Amino acid sequence: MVEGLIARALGLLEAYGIDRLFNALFIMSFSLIVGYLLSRYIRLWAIARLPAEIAMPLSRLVFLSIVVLGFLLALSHLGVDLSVLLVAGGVAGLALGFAAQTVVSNLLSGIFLYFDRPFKVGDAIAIGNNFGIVEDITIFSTRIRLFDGRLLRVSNEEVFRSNIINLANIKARRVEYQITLAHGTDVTKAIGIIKRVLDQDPLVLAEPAPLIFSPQVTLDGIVVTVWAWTTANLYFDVWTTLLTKIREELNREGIKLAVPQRIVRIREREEL
Amino acid sequence: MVFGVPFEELEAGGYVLRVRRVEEDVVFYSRLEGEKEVFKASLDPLLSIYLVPVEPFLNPRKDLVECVYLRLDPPITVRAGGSFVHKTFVPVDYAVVAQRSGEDLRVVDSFVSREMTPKMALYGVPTNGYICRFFHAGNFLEFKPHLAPISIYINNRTERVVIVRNVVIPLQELTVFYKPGTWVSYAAPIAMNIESETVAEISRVTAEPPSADFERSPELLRRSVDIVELGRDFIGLKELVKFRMVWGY
Repeated sequence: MVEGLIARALGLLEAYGIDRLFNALFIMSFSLIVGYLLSRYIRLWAIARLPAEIAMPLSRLVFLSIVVLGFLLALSHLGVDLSVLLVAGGVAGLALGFAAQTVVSNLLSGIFLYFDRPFKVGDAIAIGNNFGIVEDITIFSTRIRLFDGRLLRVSNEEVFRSNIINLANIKARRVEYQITLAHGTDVTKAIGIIKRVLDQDPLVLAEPAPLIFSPQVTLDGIVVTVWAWTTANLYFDVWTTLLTKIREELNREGIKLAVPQRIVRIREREEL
Repeated sequence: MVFGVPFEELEAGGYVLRVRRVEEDVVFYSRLEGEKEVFKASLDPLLSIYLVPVEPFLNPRKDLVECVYLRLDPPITVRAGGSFVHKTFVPVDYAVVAQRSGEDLRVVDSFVSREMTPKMALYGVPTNGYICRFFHAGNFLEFKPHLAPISIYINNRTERVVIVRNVVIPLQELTVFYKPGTWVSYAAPIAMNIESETVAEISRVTAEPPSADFERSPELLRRSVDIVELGRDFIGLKELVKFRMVWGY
């Protein structure tokens, strides 16, 4: 039996040629060594720069890619026709690609987000209509603690596609109100009262100076727009209290706010 | 009595400050606006309580303000290559501090004179500026306890005439002194070196008191402001790094 195996091995060596076999072995060994060294280097580089959940799979992916490439090259050196394998691999890859499209998309988005760094853990951000604090960023999703206490998981693909407002890296924000005054109101007087309220409020910044203007008149009344700046971390405090102060002061000064109104004219039968 | 002297009742900044012993080991401090109590704290009876003027970084909220933003009115015009000493005032906050002999100070209360609203302003851009205590530094002919005199040495190093409208003094460059037993306070002089049409460097000339009878306002009230961004020439809220006004003066 042993003699048979030896004879077969010799036959193979004769058929393929010993040099081709050695070449294939050399390619495989070389790819293993290169793959190991390169993946090690990438792992060290990535661990210092990327989160561990990205760094480790990345280095493994590099290692496996190089080893698979080496294996295919070795096979081709041995005379194996790779076209069938490539076609089969291509079809399988296509099917797998369709199946794993979302996963891969989220993965790649996670990597791109990491490099883009539109926010970090702890930042207050707005994604679409969702406002909250970023609690965790993983390779597939981002978790946001909304201001109402709920935890929102957003896939990284969606985060990547969305418009993101990062509220963390700003010093000052503008509070905006639109106040509709009743028709016939002395607008100049009303603006003066609002300005006084803003000037007396220590949390409203003196610079950039507040802006109060009347951009339009509607059916309901005269619209007055108020733009006032405050520090970013006091924005919510100011936004929730300033309008009440303005309204109370206008009320005290006899300025009436508009109530929605419609003029209804009833025609007599003869007019019809 | 006034700054730096233990009190039982004191009028300051439009408020009445009162310290009263309720029982053997309970002492209450309260700040009254007319008859209305606006602030109250219970204290260790062994503590001495006194009022001091401090740099204006405690109001309207603590740990919010990084600089003092002085709006000069009228603006100062300085000839090319010239120097000018502008004497004006900076606001001071009142701090009620409690101290037991040999121990650190503790801030019990801080407030601003009711004669002024402690306004803030942004110097720079919303994404990268400084939140400052804003003060309209006009011509004051009357002495007020909530204002400390300050000299600003303006040096125009450019070859053009410049008009200085604003001076931004960072936290660590402003030092306030007071004369115990009086309402007198004093801010250490500031140098403003104008480097270009928009950039000026701000630094403290000296941290020495004007005379031996002045005392330094308590250091513990200062916020530790670290450098915000190294490597960018306009940021410098760290000791030894000069503060530069880069968004104009």
